[in-house]
Amino acid sequence: MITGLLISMAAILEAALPENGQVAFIAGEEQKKRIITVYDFSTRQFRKVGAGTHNGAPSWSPDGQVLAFTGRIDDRYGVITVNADGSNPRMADLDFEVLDDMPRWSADGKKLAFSVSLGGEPPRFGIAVWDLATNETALWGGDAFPSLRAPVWMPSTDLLMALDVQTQQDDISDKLFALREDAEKHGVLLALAWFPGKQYTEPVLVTLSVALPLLYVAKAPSDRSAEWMLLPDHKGRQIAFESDMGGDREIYVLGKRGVVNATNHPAADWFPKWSPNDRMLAFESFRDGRRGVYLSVVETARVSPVAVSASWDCWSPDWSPDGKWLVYVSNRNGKPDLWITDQDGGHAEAIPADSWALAPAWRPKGN
Amino acid sequence: MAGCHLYRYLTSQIFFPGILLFLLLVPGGAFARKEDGTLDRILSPHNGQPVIVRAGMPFDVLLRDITSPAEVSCALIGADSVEYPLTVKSTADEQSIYTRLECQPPEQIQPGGYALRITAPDGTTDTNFRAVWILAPEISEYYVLAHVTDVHIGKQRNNRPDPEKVFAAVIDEINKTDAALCAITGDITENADPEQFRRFLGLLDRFSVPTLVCSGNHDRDNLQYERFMGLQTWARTFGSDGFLVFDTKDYVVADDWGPQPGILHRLRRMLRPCRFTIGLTHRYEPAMGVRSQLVLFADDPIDLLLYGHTHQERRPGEGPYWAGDRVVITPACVDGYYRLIDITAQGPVPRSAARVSGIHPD
Repeated sequence: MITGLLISMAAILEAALPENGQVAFIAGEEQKKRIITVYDFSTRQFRKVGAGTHNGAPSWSPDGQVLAFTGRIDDRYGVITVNADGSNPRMADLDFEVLDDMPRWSADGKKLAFSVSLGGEPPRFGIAVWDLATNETALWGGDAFPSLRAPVWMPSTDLLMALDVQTQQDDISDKLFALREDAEKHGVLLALAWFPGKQYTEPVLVTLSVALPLLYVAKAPSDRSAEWMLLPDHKGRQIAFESDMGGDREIYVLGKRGVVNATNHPAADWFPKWSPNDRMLAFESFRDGRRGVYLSVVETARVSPVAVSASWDCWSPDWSPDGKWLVYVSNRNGKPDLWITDQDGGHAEAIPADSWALAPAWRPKGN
Repeated sequence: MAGCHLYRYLTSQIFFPGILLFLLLVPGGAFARKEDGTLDRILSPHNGQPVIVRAGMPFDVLLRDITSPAEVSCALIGADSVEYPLTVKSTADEQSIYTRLECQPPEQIQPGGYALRITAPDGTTDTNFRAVWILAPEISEYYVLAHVTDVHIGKQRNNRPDPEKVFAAVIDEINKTDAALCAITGDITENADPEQFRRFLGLLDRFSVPTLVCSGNHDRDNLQYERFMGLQTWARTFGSDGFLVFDTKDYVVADDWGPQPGILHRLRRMLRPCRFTIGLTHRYEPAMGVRSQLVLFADDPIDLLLYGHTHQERRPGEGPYWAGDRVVITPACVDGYYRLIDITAQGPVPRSAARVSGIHPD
């Protein structure tokens, strides 16, 4: 009977991991030895697919065929792409120093946007867009802001189209019109404007030649706070972002109801990740003392814990394409490892690797 | 001056030159760290990460390779070799590979520096010198902080003094000042060679005040810094002020994905009640992790950030984007420089960098 019970428990544990799918992550403790690695749930095997050294957080192309990340090849540091099997490494040809922010794919998988340093004291940042078909790289956003950083593509122009140009002030109205036109041709980015000597950032909409403050355009005045981690949902109709506008860091959602606080709590909340159905946000919070992973149902702002402990930290959540699983990082066993859990956080399973595992990104199913 | 008062209070009992006597008097059977200088069972505190507390106030001891935490005994050892047993409360988490003990020194212990000795259930011991500093019951609002950076032990320099000799001279100079503690912000070695770490540690105990040490880019190779100095992100209090020590990692790679930003946030929150919080790191560049910058300079701004790396004074605009004027960069110790900072009721006031005389040809 005991044997039978153990077999049943083993079967439950076995079933606790997804049967297929892949997760890319940074493997390695020392930064100069960090390399992108992929874990395959069907074979339970790891495979190094990164190129060069100093590999940063991986980002899958929308079709799941190519990985992009920052890294160093020979003496050049920049944005690298490799195929999912590690073949065909390419590096963007750039005259600028690339920053370590994660490169972001356009919805059609043809372009990558990333942050660069433009030099100067205090330093200026800019946004570069790499067209993978032509291999050309251009700086986006014009010169309306001294610094732009951390770009992420809007999957559609739906939100832009919903804005009523007629109700904007004249100068904004003109720019918004130009921005819409530019966005239709080349796509549109969300990014953050930085200002020398000021302790705030400003979310902005960025196209090839125009940049406009997002919240101003959307009629929600900025509180001059430090925003970070802008993230549109999969349809481009809601935007999640972090802000310390209320005194502590919270996750807000800009959508049809205006700007709402999705994680309200006196402890810091950060790093939002949309669920595949755009109804929930996974995020990190310190509300129970240590760094943990939580979910917020955006419609109601109801928050529930997923991976939380008084003894270890859990961070960097990412959703499986079917929304059933979350992968995250935890130092529960003394070093950062990948862990898998279901949406309820009822059962957590480690994927132990030889070295540190950071910044997991679940491979999309593709079209 | 109030700082003199504090310094005298701290040093009147046991400090320099008592510290040299203290090193000689420690029984031969107990090794400070392992024989090769790396940390043994006591990961923290040690001479680069000391705890600084008032008598009777508890502090944490972080241990590894301990099977029965409840059976571990701890004691402070003074310069006179007298042992002061600590009241120990195990806060061990069975699922953690580390053991955390809460230790409480006796109320009647005298101010000064002490070694920390633990005795494991199997009878073996581990001792860390200058690991615990007992403060005087009354602390002035004013004291002096010394800042040393870029020691570069092991650096070969044509016609220039040996970095060890320069470091020793800088220590001797600081020991003559009002400084109540010293921050050493990285590049303590030239290329993370174990022998360079041992030589650094040999000189570190020449300081007559507590020393807070952080890693630099030259110190991080094959995890040598971790072996000799342990944690890279930690916090301490000194009287009513907080010190937040962290690593700024490789210059091309921010560490927004690792554990540090979360640890920094928790430590920053922990230090929130402090009068001032002073950050200690080795370098800061625009490409570095934004998450840490948000934690330290936007959400809960620290009062001062000390670092080095450039071997020069700070240039206008240099430093973290949101830090403003709350940044001090001190020229390199290997060139004979150090800086004193007055910590006043109104805030930290850095003095001009000082340089030891008679040791450099230029």
